[in-house]
Amino acid sequence: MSKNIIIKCEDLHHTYPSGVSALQGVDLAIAEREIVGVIGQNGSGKTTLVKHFNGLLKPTSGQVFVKGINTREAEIKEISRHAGYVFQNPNHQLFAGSVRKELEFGPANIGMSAEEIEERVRLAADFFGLEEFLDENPYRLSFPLRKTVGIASIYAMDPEIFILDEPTTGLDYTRARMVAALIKKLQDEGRTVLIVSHDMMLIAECCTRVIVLWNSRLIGDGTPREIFGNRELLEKTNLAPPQIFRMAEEIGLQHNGKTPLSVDEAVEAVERGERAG
Amino acid sequence: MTATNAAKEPIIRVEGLSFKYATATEKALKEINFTVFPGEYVAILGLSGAGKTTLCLSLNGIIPQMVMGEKEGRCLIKGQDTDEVPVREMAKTVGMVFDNPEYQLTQLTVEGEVALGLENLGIPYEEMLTRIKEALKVVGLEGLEERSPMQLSGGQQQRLAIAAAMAMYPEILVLDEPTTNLDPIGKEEVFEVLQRLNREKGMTIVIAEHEVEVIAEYADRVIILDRGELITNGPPAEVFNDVETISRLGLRTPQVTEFGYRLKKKGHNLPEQLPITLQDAVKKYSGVGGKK
Amino acid sequence: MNNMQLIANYVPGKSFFHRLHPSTKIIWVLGALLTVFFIKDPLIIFAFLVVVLVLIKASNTFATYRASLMLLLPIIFGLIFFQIVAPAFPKPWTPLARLGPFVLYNEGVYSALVLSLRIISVASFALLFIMTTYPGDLFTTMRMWGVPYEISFMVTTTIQLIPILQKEMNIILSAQRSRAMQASGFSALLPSIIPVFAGAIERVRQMSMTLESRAFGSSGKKTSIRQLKMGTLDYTLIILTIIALIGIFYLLWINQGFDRSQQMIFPAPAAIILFLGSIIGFFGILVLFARRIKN
Repeated sequence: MSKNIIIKCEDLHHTYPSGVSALQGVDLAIAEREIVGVIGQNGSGKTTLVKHFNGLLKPTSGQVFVKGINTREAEIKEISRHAGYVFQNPNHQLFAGSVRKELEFGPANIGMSAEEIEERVRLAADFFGLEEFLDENPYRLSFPLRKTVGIASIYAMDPEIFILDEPTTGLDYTRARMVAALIKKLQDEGRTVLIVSHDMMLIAECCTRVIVLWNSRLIGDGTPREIFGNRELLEKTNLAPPQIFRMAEEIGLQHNGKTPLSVDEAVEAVERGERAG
Repeated sequence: MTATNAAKEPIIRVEGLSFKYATATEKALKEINFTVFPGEYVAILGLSGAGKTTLCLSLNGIIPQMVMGEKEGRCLIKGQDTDEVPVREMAKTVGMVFDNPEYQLTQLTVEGEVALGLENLGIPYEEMLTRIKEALKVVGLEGLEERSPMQLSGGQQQRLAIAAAMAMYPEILVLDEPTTNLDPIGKEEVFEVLQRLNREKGMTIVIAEHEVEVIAEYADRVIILDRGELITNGPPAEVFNDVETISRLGLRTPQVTEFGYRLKKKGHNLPEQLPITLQDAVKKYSGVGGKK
Repeated sequence: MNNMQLIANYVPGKSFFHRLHPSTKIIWVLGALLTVFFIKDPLIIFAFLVVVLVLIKASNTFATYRASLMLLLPIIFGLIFFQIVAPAFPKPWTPLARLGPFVLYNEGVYSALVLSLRIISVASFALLFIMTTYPGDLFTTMRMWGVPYEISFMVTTTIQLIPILQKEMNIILSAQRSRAMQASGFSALLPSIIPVFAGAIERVRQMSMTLESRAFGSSGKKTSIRQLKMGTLDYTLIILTIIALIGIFYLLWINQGFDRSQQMIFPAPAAIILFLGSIIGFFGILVLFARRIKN
């Protein structure tokens, strides 16, 4: 993995105008091409943290750099070329009369030429399988499809960094699998992805790294396996790893000397007859 | 459960229920038949668009009374037809919790939110206070009485919506994906609350939900819908062991069950009925690995 | 990002005004409305406004009040502008100055002052009422006065919907800004307003389902969690208010509403300053709004 740092926080603090302190001294560096899961209970500061990465929020103190740009000194318009933020609820962003216009909105805002816009819309429609819906009104689509249009509208802007806020919430298993596949595709294209989610199966499957927030502080940082294996951390934050991981831990099943994260790994582990020493 | 059912009258009886939304071309529900007995804990499973919400909304008469469309068949709650009893009267028997908690919160304080239904039922002041206290305790929101519901986290809002419904002491509580915004622990908490209501108060629970691990742990019965049709209706151990059907429908079975199913296919010696909960799995799989 | 708070809503507190029964406050607001409507002396209305502002300050609601006033000011400035050049007064008008195509009249300045002060003072008093009255209590009071259940509920629910929609608007604005929306003023409006409206429709639809599911409007008697009681203070204040109103109206009647339009002659520079001020104020506030949306 390349070690080019793409997002960097230095002693980041954020206090809301109401006086609520949502982040207290977060230091973090994210490298290009990392797929980072951001987990923690509701209210732990996850969303506040990632909203700093496209400039929606500015640090109360400390610094945030995105692609070397100090977010304090840049407008969202400038940062959003590099970091795209997909909101949890697509209904909060969709407004245009057609999916096509929805996809054109972001690219037009960042000043792409007409040809570029057309090309980006075509690529986004292709990537997300939206060709047949381009002329539909987004409000006539089902919720899962609207959610897809929401992600596609950011993809059309071609950012290197994707910030996904609860991408699988409200989606059934089949749709959640599709989101996981999309994240894999983003990874293959060499993009950096941050996933704020409660969906531990998604985190286990997609992420190369997981950071844990608790009470406005960053208290855990490691691979999914390391984080899910840290009982103390999980108990403190009230988070639970996927069921298969918990089971494997209980019965001492190991895969390459590590606790399996997925059913695939667990089955393989049994086949090899691997057990914890 | 089943042993005692013979003696009891079903509390919910759905007979040949079909519904087509006015704006749709295809039916959202197609000739659904099932019954629920008092005190049962029933989970409804299915992909988005399978008809889960439509079915839930039919159980207190919102469909067809407040939603335009064509309905066929009947839905009887304690023998009363949902076509005939207004939703607001049916509300005295059937409590309803919807998927989006924010839309269900209409009051300025947590206390006021729980009180709303009680005020409408004409519950005397003193008893209202007792019920509010109890409901907030059950969902773990005590001490937040004066808070604005808007200031609560998504999970807290969802639990508040449940508290508001349960404080009315409905005989049946219907919940349409009530744990969407919750973290895994939050989901378990909600299911535990429901289990307590079910066990201690004998409340009949019908819940639409995606998370199969929690369904397996708590529900007495699972109904699977697919494109408006009822595919399966049985105890979770049976339903989740039918892994072929479940995956054909694009759903999944609990991870521990899938694990056992795949091992079995590879020739491992495992019990006829695979475990569906973590606890059971740990017991049954402790010696896993021995081939036939 | 600033939370845009455009319209006042309930501000929790325990001030004198918070503790009064809504009935007392409603009588005050109605009394003030009637009185101010008949007073024609801008100085008296101004004095009344000062009293209201002191009360607002004393109820710890000034910050919310100031934000709400922002919405009112463009209307006030517009009103001042049109009154000065075309007073709502019988002719003949006394010209004071000429600015390009506009002739500024003495009667215009007078009526601009009277009308704008009337609106501001009554609106401020009404805002004070809204900011210090728990919507649930308003509901209970309306029921007490015999207003039908459904109407009472609609009024209180609408008041409560406002902060929710404001919150929604903030989320939507940040969602659009994440797509690099050029958020300068009105071009920002469409992409933000459509989701707010679509959301509001869906919200109202779901809310009505929720209300029905909570037996709202069902048969049988209703109870209330808020134990609202008229205290001795409330009764005393209402009686005093009624006596005071009778006195005020007697005074107003014998003095013909303190009409001083013939005595008050404004210097021309004052008229010019007021006139230009209204134009600058009007556009100034629009620019301020636009900038708020941007940041």
